[in-house]
Amino acid sequence: MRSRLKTEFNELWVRTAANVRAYMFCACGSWTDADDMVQDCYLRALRGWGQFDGRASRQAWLFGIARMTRADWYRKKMRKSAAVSVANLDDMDSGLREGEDVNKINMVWDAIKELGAEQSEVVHLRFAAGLGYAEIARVLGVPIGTVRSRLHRGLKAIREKVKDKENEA
Amino acid sequence: MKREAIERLAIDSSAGELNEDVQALFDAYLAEHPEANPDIEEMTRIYEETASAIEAKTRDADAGAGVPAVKVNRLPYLNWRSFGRAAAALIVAALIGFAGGRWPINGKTGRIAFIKPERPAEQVKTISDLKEEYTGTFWGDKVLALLEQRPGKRYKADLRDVGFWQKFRKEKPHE
Repeated sequence: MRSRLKTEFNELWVRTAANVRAYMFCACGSWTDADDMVQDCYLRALRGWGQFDGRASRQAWLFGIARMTRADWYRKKMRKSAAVSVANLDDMDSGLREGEDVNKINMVWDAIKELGAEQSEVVHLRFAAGLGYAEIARVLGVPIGTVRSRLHRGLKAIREKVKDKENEA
Repeated sequence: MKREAIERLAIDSSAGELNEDVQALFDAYLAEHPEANPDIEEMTRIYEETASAIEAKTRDADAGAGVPAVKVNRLPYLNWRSFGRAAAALIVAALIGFAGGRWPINGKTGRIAFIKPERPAEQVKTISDLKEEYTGTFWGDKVLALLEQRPGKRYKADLRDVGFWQKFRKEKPHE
């Protein structure tokens, strides 16, 4: 039983760790905080391993936990300091590759950060976590149609914001 | 088809969320309505730019493999088999101890008796008795002055003949 749990947990870790980490990073903009959240998330998953009811995939179940972990982190951070900013990070461009349009990437990234909570959540789950519509719907507890419209509205908002920024520049 | 609907379908198509039949119908529609292509291209472009931006910003997440995995050797749940074995051993040890303690030796069980040292009547003294003994010493005068504030009370004399541990000694009656 224990070895089976160990194997399953390790498989889940290998399959999802990078995506969970990226998803956490989108919330906090810091790898240190993201790693803390990732650790917390997997510990919660391990403790509640038996509570998985099999209605969704393990991945969707894990991202439900990740979402709660992220919300708790944000709440704690808000209590500590009123100013939570993911924009003021010096090392955020360090991962960019040569030939990439840094300005464009920054413009889109800033536009994502300016999205409302519902839209940014869907965008993060889709692009950072790599979840499909059905899994996002399961994580958020909303119908697939709602996921579809939130993503659509979110992308439209990004498009408008990027256009504005391009015009300003 | 309205522009809004076309944009939605374009996003779903980019996300790979259209099933084959709907995708085929959508492609057929676009082939017949080339005027819709700019809208499609714009939405596809913003979808890809968003994906690229998030991928670029979270690229270090691939280093997630470097994050130490949670050790699963010591799982935070109770191992019922070990717990049961330990509990059974404790219960057996307790039963053996209890039975051994209750077993009669030479027809006598190990009952414990508490022996109170006898306190003779003359060892109960009044303040006037104490005065005779302690008057004249520095601390004696001070203590007597304090005792005189409560004149009706009788004080037990110290039991110097009975040692401190003697008072609490437990002995078996046959000793």
